[in-house]
Amino acid sequence: MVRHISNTALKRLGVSVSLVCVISMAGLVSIAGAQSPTPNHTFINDSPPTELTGYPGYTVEVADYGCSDGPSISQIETTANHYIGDQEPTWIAITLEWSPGEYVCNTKASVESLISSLISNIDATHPTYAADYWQGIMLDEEPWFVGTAAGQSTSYSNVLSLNTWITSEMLNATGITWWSNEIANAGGWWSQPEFDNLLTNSFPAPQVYNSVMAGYVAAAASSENLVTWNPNEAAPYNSESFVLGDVSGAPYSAYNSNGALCYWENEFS
Amino acid sequence: MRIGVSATSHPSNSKRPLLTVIFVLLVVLGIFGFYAAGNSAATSVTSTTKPMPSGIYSGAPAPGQIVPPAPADVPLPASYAAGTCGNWSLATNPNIAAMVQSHGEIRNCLEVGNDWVMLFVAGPSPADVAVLQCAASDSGCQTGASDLSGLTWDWLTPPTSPQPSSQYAYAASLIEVNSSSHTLLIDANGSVLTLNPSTETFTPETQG
Repeated sequence: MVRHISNTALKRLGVSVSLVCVISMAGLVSIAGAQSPTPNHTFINDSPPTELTGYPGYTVEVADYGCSDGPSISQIETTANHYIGDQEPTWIAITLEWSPGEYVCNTKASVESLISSLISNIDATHPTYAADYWQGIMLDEEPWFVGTAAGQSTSYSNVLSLNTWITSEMLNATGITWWSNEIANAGGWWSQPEFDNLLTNSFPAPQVYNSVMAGYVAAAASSENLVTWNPNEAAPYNSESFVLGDVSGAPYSAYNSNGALCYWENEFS
Repeated sequence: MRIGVSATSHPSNSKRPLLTVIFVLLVVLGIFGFYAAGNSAATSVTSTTKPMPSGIYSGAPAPGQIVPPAPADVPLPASYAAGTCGNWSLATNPNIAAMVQSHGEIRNCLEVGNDWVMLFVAGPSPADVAVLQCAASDSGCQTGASDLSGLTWDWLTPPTSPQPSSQYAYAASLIEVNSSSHTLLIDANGSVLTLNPSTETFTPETQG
């Protein structure tokens, strides 16, 4: 374990030096806005599939976790470990669904328990590959899933508390593994400062499905975004090229299975 | 000083110290970027085993901070993939603008079997699901090639709990597409339902 962390740290240092050049160049060519460089690889964001091949990068979609129609923890682990074992960059996206008095699937405590279990399982299953290919946990944070009945302040503070917890938790995960926020603010129910605070310490992976959502992302002005887009939207936000052009900053970068540093987008499937 | 002398008297040698300076600068910048990103974002967390990664979001931009420029007018796509909502679904289309005015932002728009579905969020009306059923012989409707916005859309009110509070509007959003049964799993105002566009019916999901 110690040797592994040490190697990873050295590699990250090397990568960070390289990235200085990449990011500097990106800054020079992104004068007109838009994602720059243009993403050249796609995380496919899908429910745990029955087929386990064919994705260049994968986001295991965990919707309805805790409800009878949601995936089991073993199904999540099996799918994630399959892709990580194949050295494919992999996220695990968990939708927070704890809206009181409505459709409750999970709670802050149950999500934390799930995340802790996943870290233990994946690090133990693939002690080497997890450090390099498991990107981490992606939290799907949407206002109407986390407390519309209870009121905005309650849902916001609980979600922010989860984000603080996961930041600490990820410091103990091996290698590059971190967390991302697949935040969606379509109704504009979170204020801009709340939106910004919820993104803090994450790799932003904002869902950009209409001009309102794009506006919050633009105002947050993150230097890096893993853009989440969805072909099942109204025009023009069902167009990959349009959405990538409508979001500023550098794309999320990660190594693919061939060891090449690639630039990524996240397609909801 | 030394660099200046070399640069003027020995052009061939002058590149060497300059390159050295650039190299050192790059290394310093790299180390600075590696550690600065972690330190700036680690205000509330004590690092134990690894530093905070670079590239994460460190908070709202401070006044005067240089931020990525907002994209200028992004050109609209020349075409759209088959089965996806085309130019007719643009918010600038008057028919669509009227729908948005009455029902909220379009959250999803897609073809399901021979029918089209739009889901709306943040609107004042509980009818936040719109369905357009295409006749079997209407290929223009089925392909979405023609302007569908002016056709007769059926507005459906999902069987969900009342509006949660005056602070919030109604919202319907897509969770999953079931291609084999031509149905959708949606979240409507906090309830998870299966929508069958061809029969315009909702079936509540079993909550477990």
